Amino acid sequence: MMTRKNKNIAIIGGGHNGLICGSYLAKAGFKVDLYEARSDIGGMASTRELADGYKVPGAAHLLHQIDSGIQKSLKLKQHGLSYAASGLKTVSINPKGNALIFDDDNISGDDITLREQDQYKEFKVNMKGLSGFFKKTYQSRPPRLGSEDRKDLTGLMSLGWNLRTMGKDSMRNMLKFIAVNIHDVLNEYFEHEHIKGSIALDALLGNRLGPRTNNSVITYLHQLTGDLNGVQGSYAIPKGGMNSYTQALQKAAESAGVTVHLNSPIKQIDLDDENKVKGLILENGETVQADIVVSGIDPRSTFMCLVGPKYLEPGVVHKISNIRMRGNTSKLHLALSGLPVFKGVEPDDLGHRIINAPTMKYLELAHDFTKYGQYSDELPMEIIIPSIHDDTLAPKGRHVLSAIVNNTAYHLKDGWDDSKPKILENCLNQLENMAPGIKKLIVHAELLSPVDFENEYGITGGHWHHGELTFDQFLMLRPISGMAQYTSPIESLYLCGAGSHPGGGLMGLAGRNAANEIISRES
Amino acid sequence: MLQQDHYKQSVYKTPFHERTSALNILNEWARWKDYTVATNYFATDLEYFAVRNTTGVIDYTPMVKQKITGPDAAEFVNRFFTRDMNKISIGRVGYVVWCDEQGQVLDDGTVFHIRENEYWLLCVERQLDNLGIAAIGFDVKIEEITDEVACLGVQGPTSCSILKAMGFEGIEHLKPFDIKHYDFQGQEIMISRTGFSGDLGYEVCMVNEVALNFWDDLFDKGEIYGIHPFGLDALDLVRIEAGLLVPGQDFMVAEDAIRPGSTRSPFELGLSWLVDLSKPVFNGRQALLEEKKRGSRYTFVKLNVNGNKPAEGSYLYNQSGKKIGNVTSAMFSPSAKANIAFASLHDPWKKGKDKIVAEIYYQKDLEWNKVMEEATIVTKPFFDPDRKRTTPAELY
Amino acid sequence: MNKYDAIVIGAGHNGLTNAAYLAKSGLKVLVLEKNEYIGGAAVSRELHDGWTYSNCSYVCSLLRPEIYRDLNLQKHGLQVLAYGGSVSFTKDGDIFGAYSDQDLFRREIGRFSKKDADAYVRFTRDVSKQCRFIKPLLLRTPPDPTSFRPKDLEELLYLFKRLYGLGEQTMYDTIRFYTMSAAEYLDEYFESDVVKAALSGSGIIGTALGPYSPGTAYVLLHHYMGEVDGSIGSWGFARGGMGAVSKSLAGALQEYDGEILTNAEVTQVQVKNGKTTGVVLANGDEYHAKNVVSNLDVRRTYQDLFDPQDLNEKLIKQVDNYKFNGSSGKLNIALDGLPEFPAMGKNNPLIYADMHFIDSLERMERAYDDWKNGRWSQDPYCDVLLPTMTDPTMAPPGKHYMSVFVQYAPPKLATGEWTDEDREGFGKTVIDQIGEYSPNFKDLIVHAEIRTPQDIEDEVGLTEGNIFQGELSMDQMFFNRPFPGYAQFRGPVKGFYMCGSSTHPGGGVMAAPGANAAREMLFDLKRKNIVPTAENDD
Repeated sequence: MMTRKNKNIAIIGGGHNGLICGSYLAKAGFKVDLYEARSDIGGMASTRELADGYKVPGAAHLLHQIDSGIQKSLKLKQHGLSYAASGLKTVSINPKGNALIFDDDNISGDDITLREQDQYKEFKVNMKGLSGFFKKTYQSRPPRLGSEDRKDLTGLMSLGWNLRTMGKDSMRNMLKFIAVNIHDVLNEYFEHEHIKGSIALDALLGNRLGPRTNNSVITYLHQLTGDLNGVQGSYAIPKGGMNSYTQALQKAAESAGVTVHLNSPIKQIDLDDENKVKGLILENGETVQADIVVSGIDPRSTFMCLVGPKYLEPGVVHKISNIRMRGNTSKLHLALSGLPVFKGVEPDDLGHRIINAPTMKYLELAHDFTKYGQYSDELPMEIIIPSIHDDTLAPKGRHVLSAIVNNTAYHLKDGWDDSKPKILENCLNQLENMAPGIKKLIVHAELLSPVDFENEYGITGGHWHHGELTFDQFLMLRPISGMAQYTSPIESLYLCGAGSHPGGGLMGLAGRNAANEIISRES
Repeated sequence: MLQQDHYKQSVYKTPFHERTSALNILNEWARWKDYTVATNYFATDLEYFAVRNTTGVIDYTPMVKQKITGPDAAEFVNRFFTRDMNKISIGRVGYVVWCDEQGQVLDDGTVFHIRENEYWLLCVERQLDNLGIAAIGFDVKIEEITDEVACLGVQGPTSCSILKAMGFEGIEHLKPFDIKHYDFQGQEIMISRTGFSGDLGYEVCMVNEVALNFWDDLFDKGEIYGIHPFGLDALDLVRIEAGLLVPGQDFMVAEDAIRPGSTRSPFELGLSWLVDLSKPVFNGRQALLEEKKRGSRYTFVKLNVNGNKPAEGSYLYNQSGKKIGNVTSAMFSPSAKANIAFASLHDPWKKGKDKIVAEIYYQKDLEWNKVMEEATIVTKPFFDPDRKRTTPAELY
Repeated sequence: MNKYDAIVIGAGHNGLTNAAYLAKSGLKVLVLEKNEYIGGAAVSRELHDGWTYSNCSYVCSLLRPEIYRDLNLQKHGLQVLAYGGSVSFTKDGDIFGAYSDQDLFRREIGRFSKKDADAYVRFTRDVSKQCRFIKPLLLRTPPDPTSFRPKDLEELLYLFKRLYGLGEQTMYDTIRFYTMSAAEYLDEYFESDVVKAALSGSGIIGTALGPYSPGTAYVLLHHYMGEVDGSIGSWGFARGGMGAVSKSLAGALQEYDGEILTNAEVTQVQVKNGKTTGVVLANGDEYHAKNVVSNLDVRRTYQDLFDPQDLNEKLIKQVDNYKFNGSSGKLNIALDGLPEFPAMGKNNPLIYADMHFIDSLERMERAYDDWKNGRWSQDPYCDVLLPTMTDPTMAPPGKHYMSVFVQYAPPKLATGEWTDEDREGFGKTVIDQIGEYSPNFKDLIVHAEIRTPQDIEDEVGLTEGNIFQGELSMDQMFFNRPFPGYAQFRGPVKGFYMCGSSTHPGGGVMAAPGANAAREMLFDLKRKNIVPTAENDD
């Protein structure tokens, strides 16, 4: 009899979801091999050498949305995860130099009144209530609709139950707000434009949305689901660079028995005559036998490249080709010869999360450009200077700045080759306005576009979350209907990446839920 | 490319229209997709007997024709259709159905494997959308050629003799579902031994330019063999006798169906012989596998109904008066002198156990009457002469 | 005698429908209307000598046939004349005509993309599936999903069963349909931008969202939901203008002995001990009734007619937050003759149809961007009709009336309130656009009435000029309309009800909210229900 022990599992992609999935599978007794194309582990949560002696986070630059359950059960602390800084504040700057400071549920600065402080508290309480529903549904696989399977029925019932037990007001808020936009929600709570802009950015960062775009409530609640040390929606910087998070995951995986193969790009998922998984074919021609293959890379690449549309039913191919994954986010990396001074930002606050989102209108305008494949001169940003907390990232006295720049569309009418120098120039000018004199400190600067992310990390469209998080690509529709339970039409091929429920961020729940599904199906 | 004033002509004439309209002494026409075609030329029953006794000719140019070409054509058709397309070799025609992702039949038709990497699909509904979606990832080109190709059905016992008299050498050696290309006045035409009549018969595809000349030559040589045109009404009679389904009548095309449960899988249409589940992938396979496990909702049957009143549109009941289905097509067969019908049966009907009783309404002297007639299931087509299969084909 | 069983505030078509059903049930009913004419936004007005304008709403599409039949509107003079099709003029001098004939239309799509022509079949089927699902809900009361009362649970169960009856794939499709943008949804079917733009027009009418905004796909339904004489998908004109709808409803009301008083503006709803007792008019007259129904939108109703002390805090806040987002303007133009549209050719049947002058989604979306930025669209989406082609009685012989619905115009401009100059500028933008495609159009203009959202608000009383009495977005639909907890037509005070388009199922000349409210009122009054439910479509 086939038991877990003698079933081989091959995982494609050493991002955090792949590592987490592998760890749980290995713990359950499977023999797990993980294949990573790049020379280091971590995928989007890796560290990048910017210039000699300067290191920056390759993509994700803050630890956020971590699932504490996973953190505990994989003993990440024991495997070396520690924070250079945690409980980061958010410092929202504006052109006037009036910074707004968000510290957990408190806000201060920019002429904030007591009433606005109360409004913010009320807002946070309500939103955390709503995201609590998300958090619960994120812990398990989404049910299939119309299925008579007991697991699906209980899944559906618990969805209903979780909604019903939220309380009348929360449930009503949920049903009212879920499909609309953060603009309308914020207008119900606040008048202060700077507050609204700053909060709205959380819903938009990494996504292709404007504040007025419906679905931005989902993305807002989504980023609130994670917690760090029990604080919902909190930010931290890991010690030793972003990849120390994934290195801890790697150690956890290896200690559970996962074998990690680096520099092993996959060319193809090998199928037998009946379209069942046989193993993997590596780019170098090597074949690997596997009873089960789990893909941590995005669903489009998995099916359109590694499996190939010819081996799937046309209906499935059509759905996959319709997954929207239009990357909209770039990364700006600067090596600096000294610390910059941001207008209105206290020196003590410089090590925190600095955002540029002065008003919702500002964000909306930036999105208007995106819609037509253009870019604004004014781009929303999330800026951190991790070297303040971690001196291993830059030579002594020197610094690195990492910024997520939103509203830089994957599809630009003028193409990225022509646009990139201009966008970089725009960004530097913007920074110069925010932090006069910063340009003089720049030792080296680079901008990584969604196209670069596609090339570097192999994510279709350069979309960090492996597919936009919208209502029609959510829950039982993520990545497509019929595949939301981490399974696929190819027997013994599973999905465990951010393209699956519950989506992107560093929480790793897609990886863990997928592992649970595989364990229950393959045992 | 159509001009923007194309609205001035809503319905087209086929390339044979000049001839068909001259012969259509009843002036009875119907609209078939983009075209006007004859429903009756001189008398439905006489046209019917021309097909059964000598030769009938039908203009089926409006049939939708799609050409699939390219290096991946063979692989493509094998994934698109439910049956094993590798068995349809070059120079052969196959009857096919295809499904949507839910395993529901989108349409039926015939695929002509014309040469390497070239297939033609002839069917009722346009399929550019479905074929286009299915072509993602395949190196194939799909074109609709309905308006560029004129088609005639030449059906009946003397059809082979007529074509031979026209000079198509070796036509009698074509086996059923064989294709052969001939030269006709310097143009290549395609003759296949196929058709809707359930009898010996051929279908001829040609470029529009030679359509009228071909018609003239065909009727010229055919005169001594009793050639006549036949219209859609007679066609309906022969195809029911032959046991052939029509989409939109015997089943709902899945692409048009709005209400749940109104579509049918190939199994539910008695077409399981067209489904090869051992193929690793084709559209609807997963769903059809599940249906195999779960059981089908409907059973398609041919019925021999007592009495002589056609059971058109009849409700069907079992012995305890429970509704068990509907008749989809019905007629009184002149050749078999039998009252025949197609029907779709559902729960609580039990195969081999339950009776089938048809509730038939009919009119005599403008009075409506009702009879309840028992029906029995027939497995073979109602009309199935040996000459349909015999090769070389009978010559007169 | 100023005492009635029920008083309806506002003689819009929903108020009249509501009153007609209450009167039919045997109640003594009074309708109070502030204007000297009835009909609200469904009116026929002679604003230029010899020309009758349907100067607000201009087509019948969703008027429920069940109500039409039940109230015998035909007998009271209503005749709805079918028209079909639409045409989009492209920048490069071509047209895209949505002809009524199926094959003709398919070939027309094929001029832009053969693949799209075939995909249209799939598109029609998928949207029709959603129509079939939604149609019966128009004449039902939404359940309160948070409630445990048997009536709500039963209705929830009904919905759930209906949804489950669709089958797995259609259920997924349904979720997607209600949340995707028109552009994204159409992308899954079509490749031609002209085709997509032509089809998504119905997705933005009256809505302050562009075709790229998620949540606009479902409005594609509208096009397929209209029914005239039972034929799904067709739209119609009320013969003699939209006032004929209101007139026939008033006729029905009067047949059941209901009364209508015009020039009677209600200024207050009287409340005693948490119960409605009647209303006070601007002239100080009082009318008493235990049941008061408002046909006005929620803001007019709760902010203008109530003493805030009679309302709870939460409701006041909900009213404040209710989104109107007026986004439409209207031009009514008297023409000296038939304008020529050279791109269309002479005698094209599309001259009877809706005409649009936008050929890409990007242009539509940019028109919306203008709205966001507090400007009227510089390149607007106009829905242009010549009702006189179908109903020549609306203008002198040989002359024509043109109705131009304009999307988008903001309720307030970035520069402040609308001025006369702004109004002229707005009119000019629209007339110039039409003039680009019709060389003799401008010379034919005899009179033009230009209506900004501000004008619509001032005259008809629709807040921000929103034609639906409030945005029809997901947070204001079904059990969220107008707000959670008040979606069953009952107000916060006993005996007070809402029956306008601010309630389920919303705007359009449907008469459904009025009928639905009547059903709930009869339930509360323990009277037999006489309001029809939707005819079975299966």
